[in-house]
Amino acid sequence: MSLEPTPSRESRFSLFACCVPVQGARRSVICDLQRQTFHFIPNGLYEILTEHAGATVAEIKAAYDHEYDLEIDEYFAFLLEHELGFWCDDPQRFPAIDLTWETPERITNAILDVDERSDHDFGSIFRQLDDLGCKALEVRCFHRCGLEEVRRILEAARYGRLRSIDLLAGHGPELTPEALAALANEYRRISRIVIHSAPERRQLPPLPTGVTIEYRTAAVDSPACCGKIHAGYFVVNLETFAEAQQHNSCLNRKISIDARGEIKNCPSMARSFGNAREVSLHGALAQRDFTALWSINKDQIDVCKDCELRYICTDCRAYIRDAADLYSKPSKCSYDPYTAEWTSPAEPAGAFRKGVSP
Amino acid sequence: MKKKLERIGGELFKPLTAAEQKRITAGFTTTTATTIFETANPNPDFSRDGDRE
Amino acid sequence: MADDRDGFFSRLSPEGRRSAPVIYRFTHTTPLRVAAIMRLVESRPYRAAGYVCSGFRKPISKCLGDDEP
Repeated sequence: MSLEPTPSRESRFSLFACCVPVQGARRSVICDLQRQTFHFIPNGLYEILTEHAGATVAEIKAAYDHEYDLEIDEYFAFLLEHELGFWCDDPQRFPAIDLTWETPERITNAILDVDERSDHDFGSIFRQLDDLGCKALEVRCFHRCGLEEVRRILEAARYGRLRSIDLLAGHGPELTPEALAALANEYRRISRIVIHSAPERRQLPPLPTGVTIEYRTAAVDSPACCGKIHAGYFVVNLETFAEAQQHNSCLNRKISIDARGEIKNCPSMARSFGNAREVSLHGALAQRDFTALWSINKDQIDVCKDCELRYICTDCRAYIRDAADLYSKPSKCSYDPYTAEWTSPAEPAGAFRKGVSP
Repeated sequence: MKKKLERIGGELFKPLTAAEQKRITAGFTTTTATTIFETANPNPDFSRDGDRE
Repeated sequence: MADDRDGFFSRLSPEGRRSAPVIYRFTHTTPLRVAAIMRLVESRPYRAAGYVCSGFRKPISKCLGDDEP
């Protein structure tokens, strides 16, 4: 794509609507929601893009008393190089993208935990998830699984509305790459398979359908493994970015059933809204407090509200720094937005492992 | 308010290397049908992916 | 017209060949289709710029660390 690199004296720079700047304490980012990437930028460039939006280059340079002409030229070269914006004479013709988030589903995603002692009625659970409009499910098997056990779970969802099933299961001798590939081909809702507690790490090439299968050595043997905050979990796209503006990026529209059948916001939380054998998912969802945590967005959370990554990072309210403060930072996040450094994973002080009550 | 303007080439603004950021969500999952690259090559090389390089 | 598809894959750059599988389907015949596809494919290596965050959905749980060798 070729862009005019040399603006006329009256040209003004306009970011593409899908390129949204987000300010942090020490640095900022531009999130390219269309290309699903993000770029770190200085806070000075954020200031130019926001407070001096619509100004000509000459006006911008004059606003900084011509002390940073070189830096300003480099900024615009950077933006053009990464195709984040363009020169134009009428930036007012290019409105900002609408970040309103709405979805008709009462529940968009769910976690279903399974261990050796679980006694789930998978058919009933999946029918209820269908009623709620759930699109994405993650099944976490903490124990070593056999193929038939996995197949039984997937069979229960064969005629449902789920669009994707992420499967996390403990390694067993039957879960060979060939068997898992055959499983993914038979059950097309599977989007991803991760086998934990495997003898060796292995990442298979994506299947032609896009499904990924990987083996990891670390064990995922309880909900306590969850809540990890790191760059591998960043997601940049319009849907999740918009949702993060006003909602909790993890818990919003989520329902979970832990290994004992307890219905919760998240299996790592203490508060149960009933057991799935006795209470319907709809009934749990209707309880007043079930949605209490859905509206806690990153702008309300200490430290996170100053982090440039806050809209692409998925929050965690289950494991937080200060058990007494519902709005404290996730305990498993080691990023410091005030220095822009990832510190070594500290022992989370007061990690609220028993969950948070709204 | 005018800030001090840092150079865009500074260390803070460099993207992380692939080694520093291991992708967790490596799948190209979408809510629409996944499609397959169609080429004149009847045997495209599907054996390579980013994590193997 | 079928000739211009010969060796199409080999004409892509190394980055283009590594891009994710996608179908480009034309609803009508056009002599420009190969050129159009090549342009589209070659523009996709922008994924390597900045951080590549794949997946259209957010993670449902976050159990996996980034520290596996």
